[in-house]
Amino acid sequence: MKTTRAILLAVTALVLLTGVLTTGAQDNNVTMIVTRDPVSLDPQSTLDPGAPILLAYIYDTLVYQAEDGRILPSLAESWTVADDNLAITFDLAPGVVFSDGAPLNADAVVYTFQRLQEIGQRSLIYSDIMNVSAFEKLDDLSVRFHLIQPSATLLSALTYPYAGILNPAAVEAAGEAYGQQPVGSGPFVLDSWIPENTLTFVPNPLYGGHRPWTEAQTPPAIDKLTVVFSTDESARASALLANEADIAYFASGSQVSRFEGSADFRILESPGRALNFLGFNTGRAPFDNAAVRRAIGQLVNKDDVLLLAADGVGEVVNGPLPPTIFGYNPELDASAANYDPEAAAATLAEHGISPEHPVSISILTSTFPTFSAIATILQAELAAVGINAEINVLDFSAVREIAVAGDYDILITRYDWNDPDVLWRYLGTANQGNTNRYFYGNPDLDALLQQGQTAFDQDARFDIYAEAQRMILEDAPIIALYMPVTDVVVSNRLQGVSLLHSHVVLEDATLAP
Amino acid sequence: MRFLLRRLLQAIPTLLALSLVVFLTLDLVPGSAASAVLDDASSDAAKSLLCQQLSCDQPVLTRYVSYLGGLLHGEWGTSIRNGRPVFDEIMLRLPSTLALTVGAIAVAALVGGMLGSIAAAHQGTRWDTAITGVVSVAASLPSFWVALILVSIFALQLGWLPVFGSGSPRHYVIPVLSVAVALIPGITLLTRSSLLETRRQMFVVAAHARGIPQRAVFWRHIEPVAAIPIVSYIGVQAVHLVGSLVAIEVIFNLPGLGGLAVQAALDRDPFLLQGATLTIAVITFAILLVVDVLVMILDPRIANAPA
Amino acid sequence: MAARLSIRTLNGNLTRAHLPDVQVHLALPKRFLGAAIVLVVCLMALFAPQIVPGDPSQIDARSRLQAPSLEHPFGTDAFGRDLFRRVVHGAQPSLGVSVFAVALGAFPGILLGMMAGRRGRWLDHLLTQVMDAWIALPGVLLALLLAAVMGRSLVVLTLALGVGTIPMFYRVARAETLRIRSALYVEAAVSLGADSWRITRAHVLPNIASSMIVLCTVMVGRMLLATSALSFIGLGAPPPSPEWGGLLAEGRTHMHEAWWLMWFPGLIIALTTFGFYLLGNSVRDQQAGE
Repeated sequence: MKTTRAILLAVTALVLLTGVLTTGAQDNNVTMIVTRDPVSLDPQSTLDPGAPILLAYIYDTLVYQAEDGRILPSLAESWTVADDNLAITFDLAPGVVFSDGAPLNADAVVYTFQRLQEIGQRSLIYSDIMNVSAFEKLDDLSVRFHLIQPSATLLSALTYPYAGILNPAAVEAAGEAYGQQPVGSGPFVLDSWIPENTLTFVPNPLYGGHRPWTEAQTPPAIDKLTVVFSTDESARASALLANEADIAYFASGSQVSRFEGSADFRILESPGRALNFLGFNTGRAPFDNAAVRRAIGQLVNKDDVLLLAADGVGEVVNGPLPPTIFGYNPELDASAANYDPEAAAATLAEHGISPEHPVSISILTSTFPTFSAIATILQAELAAVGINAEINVLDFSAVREIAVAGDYDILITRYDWNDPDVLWRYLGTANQGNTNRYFYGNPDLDALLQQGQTAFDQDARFDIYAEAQRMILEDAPIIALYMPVTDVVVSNRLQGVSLLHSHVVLEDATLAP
Repeated sequence: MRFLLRRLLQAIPTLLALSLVVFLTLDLVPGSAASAVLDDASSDAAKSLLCQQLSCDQPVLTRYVSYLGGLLHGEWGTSIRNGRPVFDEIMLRLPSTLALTVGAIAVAALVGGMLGSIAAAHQGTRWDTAITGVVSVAASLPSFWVALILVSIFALQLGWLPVFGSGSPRHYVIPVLSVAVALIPGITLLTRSSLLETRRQMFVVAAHARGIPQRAVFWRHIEPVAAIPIVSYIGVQAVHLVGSLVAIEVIFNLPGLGGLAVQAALDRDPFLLQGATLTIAVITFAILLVVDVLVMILDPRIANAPA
Repeated sequence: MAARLSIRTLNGNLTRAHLPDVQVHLALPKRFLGAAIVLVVCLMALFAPQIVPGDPSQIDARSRLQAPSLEHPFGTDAFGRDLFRRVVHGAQPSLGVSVFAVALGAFPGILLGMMAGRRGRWLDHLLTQVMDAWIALPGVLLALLLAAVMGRSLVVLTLALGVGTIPMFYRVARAETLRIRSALYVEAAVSLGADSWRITRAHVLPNIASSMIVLCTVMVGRMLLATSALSFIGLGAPPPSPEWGGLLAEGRTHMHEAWWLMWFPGLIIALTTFGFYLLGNSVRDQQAGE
């Protein structure tokens, strides 16, 4: 049996040796871990919420939205809105070229949006673009959009990477495969793509620094950007700590805390434009009653929810809009149903709900990170006042179907949008059965929200949405919880990195040797 | 040969039945491809476009028959999520699944076989006690728990091995070990008891009596017979591994078939789910077949049986 | 002929292949350790509210992620809940899922296996084919589809795990039945003209019962492990159930700053599984002794 033992020892030694012979090579490459793989890099046919942060490496848009919500020039140096609000003229910056050398001109812009109208049913900004009746080329560097009806939401739609300007020749040449062979004018070009595994980008040699939010006037200084995917928070953290990645995204604070105070990493925060909230099934008891819904608003300790569900990473929100969306108004906080469990218990008792007379309800939510934690907290808080909640966690797709069918009492969900028009999408009567899953309809609110869509004057628009939010707070079809914040952890080996709406800006990045 | 052919023919109706079950189940599950893949804000036009692609206005059996028709022509359909051919998607995932499964089984067979042989050779001694005790405890550990502990030791504390992705063979070391830990106990204990039992059997005693050297008896007589239950055991375990490594795939970010099937089910992606399930089933049959053949080769009673 | 023989041999060997031969060569514990562990866990399942009074889902934001102390022997979790209380209260759902899943798989599996083994011929062929396909359907997928239809719940978990084990019980029961059938005394009974059911009742069932009991015991342990794997990928019991697999899955998020959240649930699962393995083996040894 000596031989057996010798073989055993040899194998063990071999395994250990493979381990020892491994140290990550440091070079001028950057590795980034994202949470979802993009399905396609054709900005007009992607459905995937994971795509925008990558599209921005390849494509430029006419205008961009700063972190504070203002809409600023990008490819369009300036734009003018006609007096009747039915036309917008964009003047393009001169000298911008695509990565294959073709000029980015008015023809490219017209081509891009005409194509979006033809094939873009899958695009999130399709309805905004369909409001344009004609794209008119005035000269080589100016384009006029003729609108069917005045639209206050078109410009913010154009800031999404889905509105990236395409290179007509490249699109036509690639045909069906364009989504896998994108060509844009941004700082990087796609180098290789192993689907479901990794994407690599290299600097665009023709990039001339036309992006107003960066300082670089030359192509990026890094040699290669590798993007890998992982759905697992702790695997992403481990990869960073093991020096296998330089940048990683995190949706909750539990893993991020491993990097706090670290000398090797820093944490960048992007507030985003999302809101986590509770929605009520207003079509059936007990939440067909606004007073009961408001009482639930008073029952929920939002600070606890933020701390326990998201490890405190985010910001508590009282009204239906988070601070990063136009129309947010802190003055409205006074009319919100703020934390007051005694008052809540009293109101519920008036409506016949108490620990002595309990009711049973169902909480519906999806497998989205943090949602089942929110449900856990809500369930405990409801139990204290005699509402016995059963938590139903389903996958994403089933949740939608069941919510639309109305087979729930409280829905824990979120939205992610860049304009207050989101209130119309989620609470407008016309959207019942689609994105309005709360069976809520209020003609007065509908009228206000429709006014908001066409109001160009920013002050007037602000007032319209203030009134709309007041109405929503009063009726409480939804209760805002908090605005989640995306944390991006970056290795200190990489300098000059910033965030723009969760997109990691690498134009100014440099790597320590 | 006739036997092999018959087994292959038998597999066909089973595969058909399995695919029909998957197709029908997906039809019953609430949620649709449109609600899974499209964003909230997508237009109705997008939904009807997708519906058209899936011909969702037709009854489920019609769709199933046309899917089968396509399959006969080597047409596996396309994934609704990214429009890529299902066949390509599966081929992308297959290497990882095979590497993980085959690697774990090889490591487990090697280590388990050795430990079992040592324990059997030293039956009743301290070696035996230690080996059987340790592997019995190992059999009780959840394998993803083992994986997380191995990650924190070898990757985070010692920095020896990568934890993330599937770029090189080194990436598979910890995942393969984590899976192997779950397999080693069964193989070790089975090897031990099988060796002990075979040694007591008549033909072995006879071989010894004929004065054949001990080593030759072991390799020529004991080992092949003792290996039969072990081969069967490994076969059954391999079948269970192919589709069930989702937790390990998630922890190490490996692209595998189990994860593909789960994602396809979440996306209500009918052709992708079909493709993944059928591939897993075909691998299952292949493994069971290989086990049968190996048992035939190993078992002298079968090999000598009249045809 | 060769084919027939091979299938028989394979299945005969599978009987053993499915039974992990767990052994611990310690004099006293070998006999009683397994039984003692299982007994303790069963007591926890039955008398949790008496052992550790209080609500296991009581949330307390102020005492979040506290390390083990006298007040909280296993520490507290991310919601400030006492982990010891949750582990004790979790015995009931955890054991419940495992035991019912085994019952759910064992009953039809053994029945069909005996039928196939007794009748042979086309029924045997058909059932064996069906069971081969069944094995090919990953258990995870089954759990996922069930959860999509019925939502996540202990019942769905039990169903998914139980239905997934039918083929295993089938194969073992079939092989054992074949083994018994070929025994001399059964052949004698057949030649004396005893009818088929009578033979099954009088000879097959009592003879395979012992090995089935052992298999069931061991499978309860294995179901505990399977539950934790399903919980890990998000298919476990819905919150706030203190089911052990769920505790382990939840603890993982905080494993780096709160080691106790991974270790205590992990150890209780491992210990209980180990207990059931030992119990299964001492039952078998007992039978072998007789």
